[in-house]
Amino acid sequence: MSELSPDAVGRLRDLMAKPELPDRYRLVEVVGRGGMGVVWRGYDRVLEREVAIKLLAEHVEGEAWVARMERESRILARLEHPGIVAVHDAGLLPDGRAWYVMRLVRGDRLDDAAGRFGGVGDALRVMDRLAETVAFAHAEGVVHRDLKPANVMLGPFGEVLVLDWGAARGDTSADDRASPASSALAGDTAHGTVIGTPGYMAPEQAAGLPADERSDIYGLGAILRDLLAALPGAPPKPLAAIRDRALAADPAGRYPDVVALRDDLRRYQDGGPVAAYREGPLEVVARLARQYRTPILLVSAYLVMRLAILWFRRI
Amino acid sequence: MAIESSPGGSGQRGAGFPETRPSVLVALAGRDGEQRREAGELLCRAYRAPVLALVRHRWPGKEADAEDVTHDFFDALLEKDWLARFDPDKGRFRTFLRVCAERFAANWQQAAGRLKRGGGLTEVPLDLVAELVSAEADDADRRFRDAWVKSVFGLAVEGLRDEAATAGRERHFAIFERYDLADHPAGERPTYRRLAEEHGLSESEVVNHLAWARRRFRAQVLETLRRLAGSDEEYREDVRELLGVDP
Repeated sequence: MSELSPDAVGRLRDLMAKPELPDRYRLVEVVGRGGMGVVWRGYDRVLEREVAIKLLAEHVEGEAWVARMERESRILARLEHPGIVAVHDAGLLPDGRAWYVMRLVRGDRLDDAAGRFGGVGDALRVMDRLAETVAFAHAEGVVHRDLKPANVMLGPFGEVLVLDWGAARGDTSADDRASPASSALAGDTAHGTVIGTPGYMAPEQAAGLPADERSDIYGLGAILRDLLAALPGAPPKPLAAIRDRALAADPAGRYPDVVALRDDLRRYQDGGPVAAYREGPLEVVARLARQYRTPILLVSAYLVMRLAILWFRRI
Repeated sequence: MAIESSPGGSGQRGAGFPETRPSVLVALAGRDGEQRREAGELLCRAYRAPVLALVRHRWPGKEADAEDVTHDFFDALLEKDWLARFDPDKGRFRTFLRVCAERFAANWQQAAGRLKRGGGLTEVPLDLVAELVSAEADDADRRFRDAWVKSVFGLAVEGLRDEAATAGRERHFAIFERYDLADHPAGERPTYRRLAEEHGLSESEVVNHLAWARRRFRAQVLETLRRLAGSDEEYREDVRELLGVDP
């Protein structure tokens, strides 16, 4: 066996641990770690700002994973949206691992923050922003495929950011079509690959079937489920119905697209009827009473005053 | 954390590894004689130096005995099927081996003392081993771990040398050996340009050669760790620990 000096062991350890990035970037500390990637807090010497640098985890080996990381950076670069972290740079390490640099996001993960929500309004505000972002991605031909509270970051100024697009599939991306390696990791059932998180992935994903936009609707429904569960008491029936429709086991039973889900949530917020729930007559009355409370109160007050005037005149 | 599985069934742990060779524990428990022999050899080569370092640390001043204890330990380990008692739920395989070695060496020393007084060797009370597997790290453990890291890197370098020879890439290995393995006085590490001149290559070719060797070295280290680990979890912990990065 090769006899290595202590210095050589140290160098090899550094070689394995510290990614050899271009001089422009300095690595500071590991701030996140997932099954596939490691995220470092870094510093961009040229622009003199902190950045986040994601690269393949040390134990991840293989061209398919490199292709997947490269695809993730390309997808992110394509999705310019306030709800998606911008990518600034990308490349390959000398050891073959892919990396990319993105904006350093500060804030709380949704699964940590949900317990501090003040009420349904907070949850719906987050869901609205999430739905907007996912709808934008879908319009760009990108399906996230791993939506869950842990992949959502809430910024200090109310930002809602969808993270970790490593499992995303961009149907219109040229490399998705061209690279067998990437398609092997992109949910191609011919390869039998399953990507997602139990409890959040749609049944068709878990079964190894192709995931489409409706799979993301399921993921959004699962997030809504968690947010409502973190609030005290049972959710209102229309909201529970929206959640249940998004979580329908059969994709055909879900909302046709994310915009329809978002619109239903907005209708609920505005006090209107939601598509997912058929109200009884009393519920319609109660809802209308809530929705038009102010004019009803004004009219009622006016009528009471008129009646009072009439009554005094009779006396 | 997302789960990802593939037809190979390697899941996250495998993450792209072609699992061509079973782990040492699986191979030693199997019936394939060649695999058992090869796994036993790998086990001994990976752990000989750590066990030797441990024995020397625990019983300083008995250098002559340390080699004998280490040799006898591996003989006993493989012959007496002690590895069958390893339970991954109770701790790391590496810790299990360290505790086994410590118990064996302690008994060996006692027995050696008794021999001088006319006594004989006794069995290692391995039932105690499971309880000791979770023993807290101490200086001996650190020495054991450091020697193990060196062994793993040494095995990986050897694997890389063989791989390079098989692939006709001896020059790739030579550049790696010169640039990353050889010790140089401060400030005298060869530059890419100098390596290019030495090997009649362009600088970019040197970079590419080095990149290939480093990439394959990394793969060799990971494969060695995978084969030596007692469980998937231990493999991941080893990777993180060896790379000095906390998850």
